[in-house]
Amino acid sequence: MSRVGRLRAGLAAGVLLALLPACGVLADDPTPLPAAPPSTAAPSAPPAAAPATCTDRLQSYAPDGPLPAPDDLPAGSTMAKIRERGRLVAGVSADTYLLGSRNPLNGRVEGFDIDLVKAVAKAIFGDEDRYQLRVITAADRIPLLESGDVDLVARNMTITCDRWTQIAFSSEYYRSGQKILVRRGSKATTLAQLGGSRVCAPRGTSSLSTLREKAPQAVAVESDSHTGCLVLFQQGQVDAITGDDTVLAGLAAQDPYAVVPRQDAFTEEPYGLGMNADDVDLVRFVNARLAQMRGNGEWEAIYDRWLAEPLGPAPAPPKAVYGRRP
Amino acid sequence: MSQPSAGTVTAPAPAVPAPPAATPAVGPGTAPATTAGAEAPRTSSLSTPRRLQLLSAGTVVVGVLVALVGVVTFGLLALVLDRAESDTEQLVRVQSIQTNLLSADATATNAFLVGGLEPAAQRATYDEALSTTSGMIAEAARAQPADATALAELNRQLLDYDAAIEQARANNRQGFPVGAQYLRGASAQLRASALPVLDELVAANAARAGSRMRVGAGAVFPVVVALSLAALVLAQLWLARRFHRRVNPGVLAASVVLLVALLASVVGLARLADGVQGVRSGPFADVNAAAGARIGANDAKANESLTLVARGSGGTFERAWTASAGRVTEQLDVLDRPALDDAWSGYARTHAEIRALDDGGGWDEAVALATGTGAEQANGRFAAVDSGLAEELQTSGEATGNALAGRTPGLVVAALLSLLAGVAVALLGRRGVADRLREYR
Repeated sequence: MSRVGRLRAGLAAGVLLALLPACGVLADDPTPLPAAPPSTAAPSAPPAAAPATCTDRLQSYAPDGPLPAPDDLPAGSTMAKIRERGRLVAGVSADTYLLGSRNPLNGRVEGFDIDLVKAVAKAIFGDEDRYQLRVITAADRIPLLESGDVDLVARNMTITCDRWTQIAFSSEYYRSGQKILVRRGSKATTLAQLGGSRVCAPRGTSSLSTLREKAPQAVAVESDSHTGCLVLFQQGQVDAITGDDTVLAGLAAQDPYAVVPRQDAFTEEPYGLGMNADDVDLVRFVNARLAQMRGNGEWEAIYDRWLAEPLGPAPAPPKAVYGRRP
Repeated sequence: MSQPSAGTVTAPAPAVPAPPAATPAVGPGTAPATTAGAEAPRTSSLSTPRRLQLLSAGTVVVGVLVALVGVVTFGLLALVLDRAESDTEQLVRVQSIQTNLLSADATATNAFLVGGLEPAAQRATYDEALSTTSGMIAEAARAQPADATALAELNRQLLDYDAAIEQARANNRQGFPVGAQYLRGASAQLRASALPVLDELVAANAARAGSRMRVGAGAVFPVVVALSLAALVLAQLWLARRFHRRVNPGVLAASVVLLVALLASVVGLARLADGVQGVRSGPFADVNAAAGARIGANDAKANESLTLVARGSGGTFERAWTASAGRVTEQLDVLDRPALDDAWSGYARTHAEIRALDDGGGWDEAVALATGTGAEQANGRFAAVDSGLAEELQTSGEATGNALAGRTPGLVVAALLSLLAGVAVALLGRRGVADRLREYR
């Protein structure tokens, strides 16, 4: 091959090699899609260890005599510290219709539980508006009490022996019971008839553990809140919701296709205000306030304002049980 | 009138006797030539006229090669830069989609905070943002087929999001708390599912535009020209040795053409590389920075509202606000526009006031400040940031497109000139060699 010929062949090869990537630059790889996010409505994990038992879960700390006046709080007490801070911080629900829910018309959180927070604020400050609400999920209740981020939790919280090992409760302020909510037209009226169905309950609630215990054949689906369950229900992702009758009444009120059939409650759910286990003085103080409300008709007034319409006339307020020792 | 200085011994006669000697070698073609080459010394295997014919063909090939490489290289460069321009347009479009969605979400959550009936103006803003977004998705799918699958997925997410927001509204109008749940769900879904798709789209188009804003491949042309020039110089040397003539005018002229093409293309490509690099580090970098800042700012505003919606449990949203704000300041540093810096720090100050109010128990005052549209209130301050960034994005996007499009005419001229140069080299070289060849006839 002559010199020129070699040169020529070399050039041709070089040009081809150089132009190949340039041609590639005009073609585009398709834009990739991100990896699929995990599903939010996945069936939940198996139940945790068996709950603790005790003789009387309703037993709380007895009040220290009559309720002290707001400007006469014991020095150094938890109440005095709250007063010094300027506001009572309470963990509440903002989506439990009738108990604690945000009213979209005025933007305020209101309901039975919120009125109890006001009652405690009035006892500490003499002013029922000196409170700050923290909207929390059911699963947040105990961690936030333990860390001291909230002074008390008023969020339809059932008094249980298990929870007494972590936090303290006031005396019982309302007696509810667990029921089921189903789609209109469903024949199921009891938990036992929901075998194989997808049933929703909020994470970290006694409703969820009761569901797993009493209806192991149903598929338990967890959500952040009962309202989250209602969204899943409306989207057709679950067939039923279980929870306290008060809560279910609030859900059914928001959806004409959701009904709480006539049924006996399959649990007794005594509600208590949750407090830090170390704030025994606050528990005694709150119990004195609750005793006052049972006596002077305040309790009935609050019941009538929120629950009389869906649940019927006010029953007698639950009796307080004392005798617990720190 | 020269004789070969080496090789076959021939009479000092004119070149006339040479052809008969050459004919046997040329006639049978290459195969006999190689067998002859194996028997005799290599230099004697080809006669001078045969070599001249090859050289003539060689110069033509060199000329054609130069023309071809020039047309292809400069044509491709023009095409690639044109694609870089449309990639930039697509990038701006995709980033506007992202901003629009976040702005719609910020509006929806903000309107929700106020309580009561959603203000008509905010409702209109949301609807406008969403319909603009669907229009842009369709447009983007037409403009870049490689994005079609991702955009189809995005469209699906958008439908889900809008459906959830509508359900939130319907429930909210009836005073049902489940409305808030739908709103939170929609906002979370937007962030968990739709924004990652957009991130992929932004990354893919930024990478496409960035990788096309390079002109390194253009170096092929000067390299080919330089090699061709070297070949012609060698040819010139060979001719000079063999024919005792210092200069072959044709080959010399062809070499000069190549030299000019070499210098012109090196200078031109250097200027082009400089200009394109200027676009990359100038307006194109500004496009990326402005879009990044705008996305971060809208994300921050939505998180500000979500923090308040969560009433004291908004720690995660406030952390998200801080992260987005960090992104905004980072991008604003790149942009270096004092007016935008001022607008942003004004909004950030208002946000700090909102947080102080909310943390201090003044939720209602915090909401009033967060939803107020006055010049000193959060929505008013934020509007200044958002419109400033939108304007910046528009300007730098156009500047990038214009700067890239401005290169096309020069590249087309370069392609034509290299075609002419190649043809000239072929013609001149062939003619120069033909003069020598004629001496053998």
